[in-house]
Order: sequence, then structure tokens, then C-alpha cells
Amino acid sequence: MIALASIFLLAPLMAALLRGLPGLLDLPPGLWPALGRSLAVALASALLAGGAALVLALAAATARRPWAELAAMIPLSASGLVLGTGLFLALRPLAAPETLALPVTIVVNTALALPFVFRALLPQARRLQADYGRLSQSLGLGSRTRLRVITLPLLAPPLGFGMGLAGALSMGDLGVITLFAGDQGATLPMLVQRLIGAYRMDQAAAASLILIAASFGLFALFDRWGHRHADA
Amino acid sequence: MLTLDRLRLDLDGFALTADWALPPEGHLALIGPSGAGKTSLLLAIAGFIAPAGGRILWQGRDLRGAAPGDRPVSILFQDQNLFPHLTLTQNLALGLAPDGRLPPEGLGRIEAALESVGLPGLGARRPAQLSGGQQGRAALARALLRARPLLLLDEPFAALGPALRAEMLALVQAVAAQSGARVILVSHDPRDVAGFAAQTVLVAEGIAHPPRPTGALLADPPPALRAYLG
Repeated sequence: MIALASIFLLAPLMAALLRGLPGLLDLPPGLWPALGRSLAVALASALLAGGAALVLALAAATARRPWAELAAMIPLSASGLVLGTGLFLALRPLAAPETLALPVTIVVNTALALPFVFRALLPQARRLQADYGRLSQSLGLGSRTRLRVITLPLLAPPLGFGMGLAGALSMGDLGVITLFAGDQGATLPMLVQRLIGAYRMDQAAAASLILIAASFGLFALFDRWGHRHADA
Repeated sequence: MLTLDRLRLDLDGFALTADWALPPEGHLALIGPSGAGKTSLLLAIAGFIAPAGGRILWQGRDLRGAAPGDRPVSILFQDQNLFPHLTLTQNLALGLAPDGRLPPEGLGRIEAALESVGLPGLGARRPAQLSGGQQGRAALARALLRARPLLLLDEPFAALGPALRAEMLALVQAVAAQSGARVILVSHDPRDVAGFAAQTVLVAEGIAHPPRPTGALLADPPPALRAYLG
């Protein structure tokens, strides 16, 4: 199984690596701005998805509010492209699509990542409530103190993992952005797609390598943050 | 003082009633078979279970709707009385300043409280670095800092051996005397109760009976208590 999974993942990675390494010396124009846009989108949707999932997971864990779980899981029923098409049709009369490309991508990626971050948080949020909910209440902890001193430190590991996941997913996303973006303002996955379309395979492979490194780096950063808080 | 006025709690499959006031002096024990509702009665006084009928009064004021943190009580649960990721000092600080704003003299008071429960200089430790008895002591130190007039104990020392448990109950008495608190202790062991509580409430068969002097109650137990004691 592990061997199969490795082949499935490593073969394309190796292909990108072999083709891309030489290409790193001849990077395509517009790569760094595209990387910056991708990072900004990924960071924003990771933070938004983390915040929303935290609010919903705490609501589901503390008061057994069934709507919270439903609300968090609803995005599973939509595909990013369908969501994007709907937003495109709804927003086109209001503003030029290019100006909305990044905000819409952030919103859609946040929604799509939400169920996974929520699911990562929910078990630990339930345990936290069962083990320390009454103690927090009996001490009369203020809601901000409770969030800062109890909830965030104890939920940091799954929260960091979930936000890392959301960030990495968002980083590699090539869905809704394709509907909205113009010639300018491409994200890194779009740039890769355009390079392939122009048969500049070495540059496309090099850009993919940078995309992979950035996605993994972002995930590792969030995940490390979560674990550092767990030990603190 | 604390008055339970025709109080009725709806518990799993049965109702528990209580209609009495805390005696003016001495500590109180709740004794009875497990599942009879001792813990539930304590949780109702602490504000975690809403009465199905009747009232819980403190100094004549109905406590209905008062949040647990706003009640005149500190409570020690059966376990999980300390946050595991915080040091003792941080745990105790939450008792002193639940809004997170520790007054300047707070650290000194925390160290003094740790000293009076026999844990001097251990403020930087985390709960996992302490024994069960030491964890109980730290929770008592927090109750000391909170200085509420009622201290509710839900068998927090049940996991300790008999000798250590007697030591902890003696410490509870000292802490209560220092902060002027009255203790309500849930116990299933008459030996714990005998030396500790002036009066004892028998909780059995859906009724929390009015308090009676502990010695007299144990010397001449009513049928329900005799059935439990065996």
C-alpha cells in the first residue's frame, strides 16, 4: 500500500523535480508576483477558515447546537467551480470580474476548506468542553480570557493542522480564479497552466516546484505553530 | 445562609427533593449510595443543574439564573480541577482574576496560598508534575484565593489512599477556617464524614433528608442508611 501510494505521489513529483530543477535558473517572468498573490490568498483563507471553524466547533461542542455542524458541513455539497460560477453570474453586473478575482477566490477557498478544518477541530473541542467546561464556568472566566488562556492553547494543535491544510489547499487551487482573473493578476497555479499552454515545460515544471515548496512550507508553518503552542 | 426551599431536581429517571437550610455552624456532609443524587445536588447549588421546582436561596436571595462563577461557591470536582497546560501559578491566577487582569500584589498572594497548603515554591510546576494529593492541595489553594463563603467538595480526594485522604480533609478544615468558608462535602465513606462534618444529610431514595448531627446519625442510622452502610 505504502509503496503504491509512494509511486502514485512520487512519480509526478520526480518528473516535476527533474524537469524543474534546471528551470530554476531560468524562471518565467511574473513568477514572484504570482507567488505573492497565491500566498496572500492562501494565508487569508487559512485564517478565515480557521476562525470560522473555531467558532462553529465551539458552538457545536458547548451547546450541542445542531445547526453549527450543519453549517460547517454544507460547503461539502458544492464544488468550487459551481460556487464560482454562481458568484460570477451574481457579481458581474456589480463590478469588473478582474477586480474581484482575489477576494472571491479567498471566500470560495475558505468555504471549501471549512468542513475539513471543522472536522479536525471538533473532537478536541468536544473533549475540552467535557473535561474543562465546568471548571471554566465555575471560575467565572471571562469569555476573552477563556479563549486566550484555555481554548486557543488547548486547541492549537488541531487548529494549526487545519489551517495548514486550508492554506495548502487554497495555494494549489485552480478553480474559481480561472473564471475571474484577467491577463494580469494570475496566481501561481494559473501561471503554471499558462506556461504549459505555451509549451514552456521547463519553466512550468520550475514554477510547479516552487508551488509545491510554498504549499508544503505554509502547511508546515501552521502545523508547527500548533504544536509549539501545545508544549508551551 | 443557604436554603433549599422545596427544591426538586429532575435526574435520570427519578426526582430528588430537598427542603432544609444549612445549619448555622459547622461543615456539612452528604452521604448515601452512589447514583442517589449527591453530586447532582452539589452541582445544582453550584449552578450547573437548573432546579425543576423550588428555589435555592443564599441570604434570602434566589440564585435562579445566576451563573456558576457569580455564586457564593467554590467547587472541587471529582477530577480535572486544574488546567493541564498551565502552571500552578497560572491556574491560581485564574481563581484570583478570572478576567485575566492579575493585580500587582497577586503573585505574592498566590505564593502565600501555595505555602499555606504545603506547596511552597512549586508555582512553576504543571499539574502533571505533581502527585494526586499535591493537585488536590493546589485546587484548595485556588479556593482559598477565591474566598467564597461556601466550599463544595465532590469527593475530590476519592482516588487517594485513606491516610492521604484524612490528611487532605484536615487541610480542607484549615483552609476553610482561614477563609471563613463553610464546607459541603460529598462522600460515600462514613469514616471521612465522622471527624469532619458536624451535620450530615442522608441522600437516598429520591430525598435529601434534613441535616442531622453526624454522630447521632451514624450511631442510630435510619433504615435507608443502614441498608447502605451494611
